[in-house]
Amino acid sequence: MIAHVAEASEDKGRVVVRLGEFAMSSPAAISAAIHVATAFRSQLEGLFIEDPDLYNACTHANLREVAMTGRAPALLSPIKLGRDAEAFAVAVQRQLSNAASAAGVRFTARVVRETPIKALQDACAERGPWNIIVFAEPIEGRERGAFVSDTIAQVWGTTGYIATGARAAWRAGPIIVAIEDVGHLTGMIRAAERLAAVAGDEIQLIPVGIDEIGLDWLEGEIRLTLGEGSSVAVLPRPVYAGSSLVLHAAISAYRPRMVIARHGGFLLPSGETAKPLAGLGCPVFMVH
Amino acid sequence: MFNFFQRTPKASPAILVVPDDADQRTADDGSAATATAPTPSNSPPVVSANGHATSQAAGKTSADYTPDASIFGLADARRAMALIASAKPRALFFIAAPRTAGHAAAVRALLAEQAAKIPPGDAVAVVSSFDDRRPLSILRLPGPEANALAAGIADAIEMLSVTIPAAFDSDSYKVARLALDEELRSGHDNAIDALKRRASAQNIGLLRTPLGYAIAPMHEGRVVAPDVFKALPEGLKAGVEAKLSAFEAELSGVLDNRTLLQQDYRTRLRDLDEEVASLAVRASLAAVTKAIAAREAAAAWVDALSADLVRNAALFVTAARRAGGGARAPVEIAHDPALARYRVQVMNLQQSSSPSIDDPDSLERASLCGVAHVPPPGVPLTPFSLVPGVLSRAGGGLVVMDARDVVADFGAWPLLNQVFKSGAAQPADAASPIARPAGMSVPVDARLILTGDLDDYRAFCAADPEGARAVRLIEAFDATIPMTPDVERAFASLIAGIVAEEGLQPVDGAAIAVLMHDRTTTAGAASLLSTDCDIIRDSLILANHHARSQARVVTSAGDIISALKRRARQDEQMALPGRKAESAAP
Repeated sequence: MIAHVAEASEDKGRVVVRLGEFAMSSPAAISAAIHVATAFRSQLEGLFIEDPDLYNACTHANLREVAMTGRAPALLSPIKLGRDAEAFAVAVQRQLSNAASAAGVRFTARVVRETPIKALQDACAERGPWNIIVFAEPIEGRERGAFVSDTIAQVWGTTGYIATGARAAWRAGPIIVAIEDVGHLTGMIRAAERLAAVAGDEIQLIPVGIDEIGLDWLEGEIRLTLGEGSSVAVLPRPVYAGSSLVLHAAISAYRPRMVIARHGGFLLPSGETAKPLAGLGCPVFMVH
Repeated sequence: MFNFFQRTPKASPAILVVPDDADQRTADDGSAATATAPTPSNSPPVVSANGHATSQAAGKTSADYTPDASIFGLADARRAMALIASAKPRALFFIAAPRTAGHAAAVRALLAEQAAKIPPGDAVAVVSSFDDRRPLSILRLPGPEANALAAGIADAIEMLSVTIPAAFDSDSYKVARLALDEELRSGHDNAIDALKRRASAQNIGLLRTPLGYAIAPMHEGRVVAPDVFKALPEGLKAGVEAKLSAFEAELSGVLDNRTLLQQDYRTRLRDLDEEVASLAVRASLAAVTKAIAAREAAAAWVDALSADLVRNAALFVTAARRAGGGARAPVEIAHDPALARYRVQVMNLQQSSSPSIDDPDSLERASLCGVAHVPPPGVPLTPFSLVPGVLSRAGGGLVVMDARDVVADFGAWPLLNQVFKSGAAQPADAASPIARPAGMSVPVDARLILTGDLDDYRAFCAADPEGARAVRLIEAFDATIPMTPDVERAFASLIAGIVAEEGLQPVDGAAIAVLMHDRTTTAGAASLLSTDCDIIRDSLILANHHARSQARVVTSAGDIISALKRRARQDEQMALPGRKAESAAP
């Protein structure tokens, strides 16, 4: 995790906020980014990525834009695209900058014209491997969910990713750590401790899985790791009931500030990211 | 013939005969000026005044008579005022009586008797109509039922503040909502994804732009450069452009369909929300619905309330979120402006018992008209914003006002007259009586009682001769009554009654005679007696003090004369012509 690195050298940790592909940033994602940056005393970078294909396409004389508003298709010139994109980039950067400034977090803004994965790879390569990527736009739909999965699979130099679903809320509440295996247990608890310390939140662990016997063993390991007298609570494990939607609803019922979970596991399957994010209803800190 | 007072027709009304020692006693304080006259008999004469004389048995005092402090003419007044209880709502009366404290108290007591006889009518409950064009409605219910409805609805709202947020926070709702959200998302995403895939298969790319999508020719996943595209054979270019146009049209269709999907989603989401909310609403209103089932209008209103609660269940969820998910205090719920439309405002204070006499503190229009507050412009009118004024508070009872106040306030009487004619009062803002919400009126059932003496009645008639015709005059008490043996007996009992009530020492027969003389003098004719008891009571108290200061155990005529003189001096100082003339000492 990023924690030990940030402790060792304050300047090395960095939260890279991937600003939306023409979608406004989720306030919950922005708050989560600020919270993480505060917790790890790291700096924040707003990365606005322009799609080079789109700018190339604009050089076609007759490129038309089909508007979401239902307006009749109209010619899209490089000038119009540049103007619209700049206005959008300024708006989302300002939103992030204002939040960082209010929280006293160092902030830098950057605009790059590159494919999104490549842009994130480059950004994280500059100061790896101590980056956390925050997806500012709400992750809705298969395409954006797939983009998150692709980023996690292809971008190196990162220690975690934060994404939010549609209608995610940022609120005071516990930091819930979904434990699916003991391998990540210590690191996730350490991350949770850092995150919880910012606002004095409670840490709650929840064993997640399908296999009841495996879960019994996992819960035993969790309690063993925590030891007696730990202030970390272990929540009753949710009943699977044949649908992961029920699990997401059960965890969201605790009204967490943030959930820490392993991407590619049972709670956050790698092939389906948007649904769990929508179900959990809060920012999710995903680890490999 | 009453054995205490005897008529002495030949005696001069101007001559008062008092016992020999009266002169001496009153001279002690230097204020007594006692006239004496020959007595008509050998027995100790007590009084000869206004044509009446007495051969009072020696040694008789007020203690020898049955105490009765009732005002003169009480029985007649009671008979006259019986009309009030049998009158219809909104009847107007003028109760004429001399302006004395004793008469005022008697009138109040008789009005209270009449008020108690009026059967309680239906209460007026102001409720929201749940219709923006006509913000409020009126329900007429028996008082106890109106109060029960108001309390039941308040309880239900308090309950819903907990149960609705809980229902929307339940796992079952969340899962249903997620499934719906997912259906919308996948419906739209599937369409866009399918279009993208089909376009991609034909080397056409859908690129996201700030405001929508652009469609461009692609090759191996990248946009074809314009110069490369230009270099393509015309036939190939035309084919690509045709594809671009076709996908553009299809994309427009998909985006249009997105709106339809969203509409469908909204409808289904609303249905889901209403389904969840209606369970909670039905449960919370079950008791009220059952209790009110026999009252058609009220039952219809509860149905409308139920529908409105279901439609606006989000109000409760939002309030719970504002409270951080914690329980809200009952007082917080009761004063939540967002929930004010669900209040039942019962405008009458006493529906369960007999109507009350309500004496307004002021004649302000807003207070009179039944509504003392209207919210500022732009703020919705709610039952909560209405404060019952005097006309509403009285229900079907009596509203008693001093006629002089009504005549003195030029604005009050026309307004009152109009309200009692129409039977309805419009709300008025206490700060701005001119401001009135349209289409809102509160029924008024009260009977209006104006009080005053006959001079006041004449002034009232002169101020509004036409309006005065609608007002029935009841002459409850006369300023004077004919002197008869019964009245003489009653006078002695009155003295005894006042002595008993005030805890005074006994008054001797001469003193009683002096007081009677004073009252006949005030009445202006020997055959009449003034009914003003205030002066009698006051004089007795003063005389009692005078006698006690001289260590006597019975108050005598001299004490009374001294007291009457003292009153006369006081009235002169006060420079009140009416009082001066009335209480002139003999």
